[in-house]
Amino acid sequence: MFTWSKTFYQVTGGKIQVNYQSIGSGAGAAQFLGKNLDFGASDVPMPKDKYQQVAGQFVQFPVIIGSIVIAYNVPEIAYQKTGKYLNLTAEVIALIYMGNITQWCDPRIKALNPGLADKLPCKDIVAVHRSDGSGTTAAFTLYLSKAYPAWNQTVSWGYTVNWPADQKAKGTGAKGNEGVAQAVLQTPYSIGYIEFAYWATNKDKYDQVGGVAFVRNDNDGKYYFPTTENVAMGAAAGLERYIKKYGAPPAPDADWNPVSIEFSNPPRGYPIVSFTYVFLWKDYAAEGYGDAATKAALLKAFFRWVLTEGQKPENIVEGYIPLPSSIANIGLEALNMVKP
Amino acid sequence: MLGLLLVVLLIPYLIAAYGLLFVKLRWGLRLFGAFIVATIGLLTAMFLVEAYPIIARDGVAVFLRTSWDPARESYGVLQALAGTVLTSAVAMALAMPMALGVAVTINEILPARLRGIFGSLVDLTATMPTVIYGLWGLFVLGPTLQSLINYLPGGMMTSPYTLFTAGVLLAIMITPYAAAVIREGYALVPKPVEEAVYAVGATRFEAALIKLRYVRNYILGGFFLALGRAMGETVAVAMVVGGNYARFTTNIFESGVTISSLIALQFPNAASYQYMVPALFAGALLLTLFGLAINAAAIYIIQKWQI
Repeated sequence: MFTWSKTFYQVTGGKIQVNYQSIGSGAGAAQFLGKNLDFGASDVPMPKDKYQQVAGQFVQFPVIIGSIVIAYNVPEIAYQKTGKYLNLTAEVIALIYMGNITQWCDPRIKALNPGLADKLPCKDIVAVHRSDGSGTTAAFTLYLSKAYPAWNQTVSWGYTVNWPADQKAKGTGAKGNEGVAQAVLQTPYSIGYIEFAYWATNKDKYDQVGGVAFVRNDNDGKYYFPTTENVAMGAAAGLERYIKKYGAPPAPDADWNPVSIEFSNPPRGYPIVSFTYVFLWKDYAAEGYGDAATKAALLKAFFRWVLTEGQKPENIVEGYIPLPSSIANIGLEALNMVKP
Repeated sequence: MLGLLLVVLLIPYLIAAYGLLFVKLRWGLRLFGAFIVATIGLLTAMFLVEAYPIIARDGVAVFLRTSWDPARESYGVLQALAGTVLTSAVAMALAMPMALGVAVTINEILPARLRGIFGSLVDLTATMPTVIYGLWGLFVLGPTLQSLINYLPGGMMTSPYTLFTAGVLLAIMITPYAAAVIREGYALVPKPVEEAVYAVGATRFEAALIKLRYVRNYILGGFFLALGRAMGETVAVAMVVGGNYARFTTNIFESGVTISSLIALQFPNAASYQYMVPALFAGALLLTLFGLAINAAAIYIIQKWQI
């Protein structure tokens, strides 16, 4: 978002400057609703109770795709030694974080990795999670909730959850993606979930001590590595499933919580998909903003650029994934709903 | 709302207080004192008001429970209080000997020319932004401590980020505070006392011990100043404490959370939940009351020692 505003500033010849600050997803939504901001952005859609307060008055749409990788530190099977990455499923990941699978040599892990089975050490798994509330945790736990019902019943999902592995096994927390990454890199026999972008710029470090897992999409039974193509495939498939279920693409002024649920664990592709959503008011004048016409026109120009030019590889920060055109079109439709 | 009330109170108060300072010094000072007490009272009242929804729902259970499950809106802050106590205890145990050592070294061992430079350097470390300590803890101290502890037989530090890591980092951060107070006191030991100590044949080490006993009030002052810092430190601790907000633990080699780091870690997204903000304010209330209790104990001890 920050890079976009910088590039846009250059593209418009320095005429339009968009200020963006990263203050956390929950705060972004709250500040937008408090009308302290002209637009909001969040890793999760507007929460349902808040949506109901302002239903119909605002639009929300994805602007970029993110994903989450499962990184592990098991020196015995490090990618640089074996040339292989682990295969994992939602069930196994969930059971590790639930404290039910506690050792790397667990038969359920071995069964998924016949090629590495004899090398998996009988060491306790250290399950690392975020200690701060985060959109990453929300997307990760939503995926586990959808793909493994027992997780939904015992843990559920959100910015912060009560990790059973903390009580029953060696679960531990760390602050921010950088904290989890550092804890995983530093702690032998650990596993952690890290934002795709964070891993993409440092792949080698992880390959030295372990790697990132192929995750099985339970819907088509195939294992997917977190690549840009596989994540984009997942996002497009998620939209298809939504359209099949509800008959039409999601409306920008609808509640997007069901949409994000359809996108998680999609029918094919890498199964952990997350979006960054943008919130805009439909009618800036009616919401009491000063100079509403100019504001709306500038916001529309900026996000039109983001959804078209901004999706080109040269304008996207490494580690984020451009929207398939089917999803970008929802955003363009949303912009049409914003009163000039 | 309460913030506005504070500001509104502040303006006529300042005018009155400054007026009185020039007219009648004693009453001016009393008014200032009363204002400080009122501020603490108002702050506590604000915490109570903000925490009211969860206290109304759960009663005092919120202070006595160890739970943090936003998905089920179930909160408790006892584990965080335990974390605050444990990290502060580790920090004080490590920091006080260091602070005493620094104070004695500067006053006794270093040549007079270097004292000023060394003293200002120690003071300078106190002014370093805490986030820098936090980053250092994240990338250097945590991993180093983990390797060291796990090198010992039976040393089980599963993560680089534990209550122990936070305690050691805090010790490094608060040592200059305690050292500054003790150093100032140590330098004030009257020359005749010092000469008398040496006259009865004390070694340099014995003399230092006697002088330290002479300035024990300064040591206590430094102790409580440093303890206050340790209990309240937020950013650096949040980065290295691990953050297992739902588990009560008394093992310092496990990840945990302190009250202030719990607030720092959970506040940004707390507004998305109905009862999390009140629960965090309940934590703030608990920390304030705990801090007041510690200070009351400090005043009691100091008065008793001064008989």
